[in-house]
Amino acid sequence: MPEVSTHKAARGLSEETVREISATKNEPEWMRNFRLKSYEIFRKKPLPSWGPDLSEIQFDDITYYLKATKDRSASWDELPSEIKETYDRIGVPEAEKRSLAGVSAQYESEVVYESIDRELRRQGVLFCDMDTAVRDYPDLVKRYFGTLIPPHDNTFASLNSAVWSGGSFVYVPRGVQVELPLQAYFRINSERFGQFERTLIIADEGSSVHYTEGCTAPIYSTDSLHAAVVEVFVAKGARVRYTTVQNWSNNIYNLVTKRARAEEDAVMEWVDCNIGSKVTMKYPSVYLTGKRAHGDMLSIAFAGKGQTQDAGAKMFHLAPHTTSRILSKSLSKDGGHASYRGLVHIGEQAKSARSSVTCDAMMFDSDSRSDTYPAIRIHRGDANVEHEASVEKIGEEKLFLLASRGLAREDAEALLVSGFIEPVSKEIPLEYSIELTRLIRYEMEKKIG
Amino acid sequence: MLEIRHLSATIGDRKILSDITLSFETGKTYALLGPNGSGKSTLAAAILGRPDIVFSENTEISFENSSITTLDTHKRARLGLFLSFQSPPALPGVSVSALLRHALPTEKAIDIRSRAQTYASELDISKSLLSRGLYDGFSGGERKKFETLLWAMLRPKIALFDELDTGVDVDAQKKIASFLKKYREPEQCFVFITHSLSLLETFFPDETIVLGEGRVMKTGNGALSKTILQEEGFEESARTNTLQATPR
Repeated sequence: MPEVSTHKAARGLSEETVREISATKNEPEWMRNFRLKSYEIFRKKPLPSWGPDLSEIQFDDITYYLKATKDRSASWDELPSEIKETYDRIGVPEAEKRSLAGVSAQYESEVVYESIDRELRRQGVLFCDMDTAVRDYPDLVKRYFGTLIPPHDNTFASLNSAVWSGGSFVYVPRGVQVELPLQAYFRINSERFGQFERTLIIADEGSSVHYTEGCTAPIYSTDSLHAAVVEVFVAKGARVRYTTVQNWSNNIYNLVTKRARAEEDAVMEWVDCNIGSKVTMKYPSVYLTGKRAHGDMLSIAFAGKGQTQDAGAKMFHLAPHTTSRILSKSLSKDGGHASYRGLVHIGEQAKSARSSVTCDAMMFDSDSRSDTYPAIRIHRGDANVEHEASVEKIGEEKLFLLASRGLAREDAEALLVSGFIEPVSKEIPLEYSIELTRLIRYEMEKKIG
Repeated sequence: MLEIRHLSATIGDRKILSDITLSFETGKTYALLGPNGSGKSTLAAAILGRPDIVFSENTEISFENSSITTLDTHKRARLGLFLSFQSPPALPGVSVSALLRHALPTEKAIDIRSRAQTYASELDISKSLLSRGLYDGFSGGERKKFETLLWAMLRPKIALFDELDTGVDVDAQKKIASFLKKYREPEQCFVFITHSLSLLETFFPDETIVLGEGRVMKTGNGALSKTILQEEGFEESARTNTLQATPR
């Protein structure tokens, strides 16, 4: 039987709410204090003075803690018809739809998950939700949690630190290669789609792991704020790839802080696709602290009607011979606004660092908007930093060429778009990239219809 | 098969084509000549229905006895009209097989691939180009070879080749010409927009059409192409035409 919500904090935020969340979770004192301290910081932090307008967020109107997802939307029938229709159009199986919508758990995949879980346990990999990790692996959590993204980092990091719930914990032991991508998708967790997820990934020396989260089907939530925090620690010689496909419904403010630390010879790759939400602000970063560490950021952002995608990346080169690459692809249509906002920092210790930044924007009409805010700070003379940016309006000439070969306009547009995002989409696991293509096609048809 | 009557067209507020009446027949070859800016490419694009070209009210285009004057470009293409582009724009990330899967919805993907590979090798197109984004970083000759390959893939009833021989070296011109000859079916109609005789030597035109300032200045047999392109040039041709036309 589906779990029924057993606890729901009252709307609005107070010290009392924070204590209540911690108490409900039976947390140790250190975590409770961490939350309370974070709440104090949040109270004093103003909203960011730059970037998209966030003034419409009603902090007092948000429910900060729901124990079970079932509560999110009581039944499939209660979901908005637009969301249901999208599921039908992109062909998500019924069971999956329900799970994605947060209506019920995905019972079918429990079996799959169990077998993956057994293999992981054999390798000594820890993969569980964050609440479990606090309880079962306190030493590891204590050592890393909140050290890369401290509560005072930004307003939404402090909010998340105070009220976080759910999210994933991953620990990969030294030398272990996790072959299959770890998919949050398989994890049957009622807090899977929580608004204030907290994810911590630790890849020990020489290990490798690919973590994927999200799905292409829109995630509906009646609450309007998603403020996640993700910290990734990549030890010497280790490799982590973190893939996100985000398609929140268009009432959500998606304000996420993601940061990784890459030590000597480590590789950190962020692959980030943002399709949904009302406003997304997300600038995953990599602190390249060890020699020859490499950071990668590949992203796709799609801004449709009424949407703002303000996304980018930050690469901090803090050691010799570190390298980084940022490849950002943004699409805007029907008045959508897509921005690239990024920073490449070459520190004094970063001898012979190299970085390349490419931002390509595609616009469908003149109502749409695309901006690029690249910042480069170089503190040495021997850095090699390249920046390239291009903006193209989806060209009538290209559409005519394709039409003259028998392609209807929707097919031609979809083909041009999938070609445009191909350098990034080919890096996404196949099942996601197929859905992504289907979804983009659907978005195009919506425009025409 | 293709009838154009009283075609006049504007782009923005510029009048490009005036009162053009022409007829193209099954299995025949046409040379469409004229100086730069005389409206040849616009006429070809107009026949395919490029959206920015606006026709006058009495313009009438029909294909196989049904009007296509207001038909969408992709529907014209599906009826069997084809235009090869003078300089096709790069389509990054769009492979030729992805395009063909949409363009040939009834043909199996495996058949599309094997035909494309056969044609590519006959045209001396390197295999790696088949999986790259179309025209992305292609040389002039590679672009034209790909246009030729697409013609063969689509098997249109009428093909308008817009300067298929421009910017192509002699060897590639020969390759393209012999390829066209090999795969042309007897009922297919060819229209060459060109400034040189190279392709016309392989496909001697049944008819020559000379455009000037957006009008049909002159029509004649295949020998007229030779006269204009080899000896006389357009100015002379236009002058004789004007003289002939005056009494009317």
